[in-house]
Amino acid sequence: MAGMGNRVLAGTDRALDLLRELPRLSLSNIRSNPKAFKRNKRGRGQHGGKKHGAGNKGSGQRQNFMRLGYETGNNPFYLRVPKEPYYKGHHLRREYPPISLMQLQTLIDTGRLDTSKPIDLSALCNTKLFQLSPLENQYGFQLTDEGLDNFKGRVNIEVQYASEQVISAIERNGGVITTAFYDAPSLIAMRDPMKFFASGNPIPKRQMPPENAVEYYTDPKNRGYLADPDLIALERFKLAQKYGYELPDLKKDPELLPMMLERKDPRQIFFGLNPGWLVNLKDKKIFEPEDEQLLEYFRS
Amino acid sequence: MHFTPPGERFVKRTFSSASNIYVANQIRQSVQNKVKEMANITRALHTSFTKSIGNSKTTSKILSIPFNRFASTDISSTTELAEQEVLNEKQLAAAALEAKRNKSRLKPRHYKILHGQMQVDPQNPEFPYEKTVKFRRKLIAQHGLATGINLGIAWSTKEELQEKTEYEKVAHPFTLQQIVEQKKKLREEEMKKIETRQKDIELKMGKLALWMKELKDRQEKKEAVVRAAQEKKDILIEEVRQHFGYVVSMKDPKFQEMLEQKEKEAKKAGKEMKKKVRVEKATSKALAQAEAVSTGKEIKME
Repeated sequence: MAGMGNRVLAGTDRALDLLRELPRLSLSNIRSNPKAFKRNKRGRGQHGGKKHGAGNKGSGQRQNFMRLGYETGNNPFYLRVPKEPYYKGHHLRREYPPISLMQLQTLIDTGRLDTSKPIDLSALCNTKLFQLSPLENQYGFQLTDEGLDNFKGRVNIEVQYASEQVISAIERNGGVITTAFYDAPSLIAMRDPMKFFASGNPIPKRQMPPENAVEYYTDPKNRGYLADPDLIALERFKLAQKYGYELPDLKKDPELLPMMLERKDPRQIFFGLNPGWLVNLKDKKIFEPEDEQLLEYFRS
Repeated sequence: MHFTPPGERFVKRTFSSASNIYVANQIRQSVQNKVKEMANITRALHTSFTKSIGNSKTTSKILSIPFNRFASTDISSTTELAEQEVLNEKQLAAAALEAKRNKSRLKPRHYKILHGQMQVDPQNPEFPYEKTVKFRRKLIAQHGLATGINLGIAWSTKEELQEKTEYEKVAHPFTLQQIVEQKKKLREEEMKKIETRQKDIELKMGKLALWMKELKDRQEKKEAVVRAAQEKKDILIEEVRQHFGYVVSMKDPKFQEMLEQKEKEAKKAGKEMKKKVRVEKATSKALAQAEAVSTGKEIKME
């Protein structure tokens, strides 16, 4: 078995491995199809006979059973307790652990965050100061307005939720803020990239947001990643007027401009890496699939 | 445990220990001779080998050859095989040296993991988990192309891809544009509803003053009727009280008699009034006629 140059498909390799290791077919490791034969349920004679498992007299033997839950007249349990839907649908609600602007400023000042590069969820998780567990319905970070007045950092930041004041605070200092959605597998890859690369899986394709989040992420007011960039520019201007600051011109600093304008594709997870690529840190190489179907899947 | 020389160890595998000591000794002798032969050959080869290499880093010292009891004792005297044997023996010697140096008492697998070496042989898997796709992917991630595993296992098979696409279709039945349109429509409908309701309310607010007035009038009417009846009653009671000297109950028969009397009187009075009115009318009419005649005559006279 060779490396990249081998044209044998991975699926066949797996199949052959299986064939080599599975045991010989025998009566002990095969079974009939699910409904090939019916099991005899009724006790007909000998020890399934006489009372046929129905006992003596009573509603049991006479096959006149009470309905399930009935408690011979008193108010049954399933009717006693009234419905109290306080937590209805709580398992479907998405959570966004907060990061305050004060914390962000501290991170920038202490050098834990590099403002010369875009800040996204990976960068925030790499500081090891914030934990994210997608399996507990946490879908990313929200930027809160604590420390809003003293925020002076100029950043290109991507979070999952930010209120209007926070957006204004970032833009007032010449920064760029975007709100983006990541599905659970993408989040797991993002929060610990080294561990993800060590698993040997190709970079997954980011999914579209669920229906109840589409409106938020397509709205230029929220600087959604699916919104029209022209409308976002308009909203920037409007916000500046609303909060009474002069909108800084991003083009004044041409060195930082490309970094400031750098945004991810809706299907992209890591900057500079496409979905479907296999990153190998040992050989310092990136591998791409050649199969058309796979390519089609990852490009769609 | 007494020391058994190497030849005897080999012999004891095939012969029973007790009886054939003489035989064993003979065999041992022959084996030892063979070993000496091997040593001589390798010595000669070693010197020739070093000469052919020239500036090699090999030492001129002759290595001690450990007796390998699993090696075949009949030696074919081709030089290639001998050279290979020399190399193998070198490697063996080096490995033996390393084994002596390694005091960690770690299992070989663990030692390798610690030193970042491949702890498994992908071609000869020892445990079942080494054959799983998940493990092999991790192995590739750790050791790269050196594993010799087909990199294609990292991506999904055709069936898995089909399943994925199907799942995505079911999870996201609509495209982004479709959802955006749907939401737009929803919001528009909501706004419409609110607007129509607001308009309706405005209209009704305009009519509110009128309705209030009407309601008040209706209420006042009812009240007036009730008040009038009450007042009538009070007057009657007062009159009856005046007559009798005390407040007579409405249900008392005296009260009823009084009422009847009153009615009669009222009727009478009414009749008289009518008569009066009739008489007055008549007289006034007559007077008027008379006047008219007189005036008429006067006119004629003139």
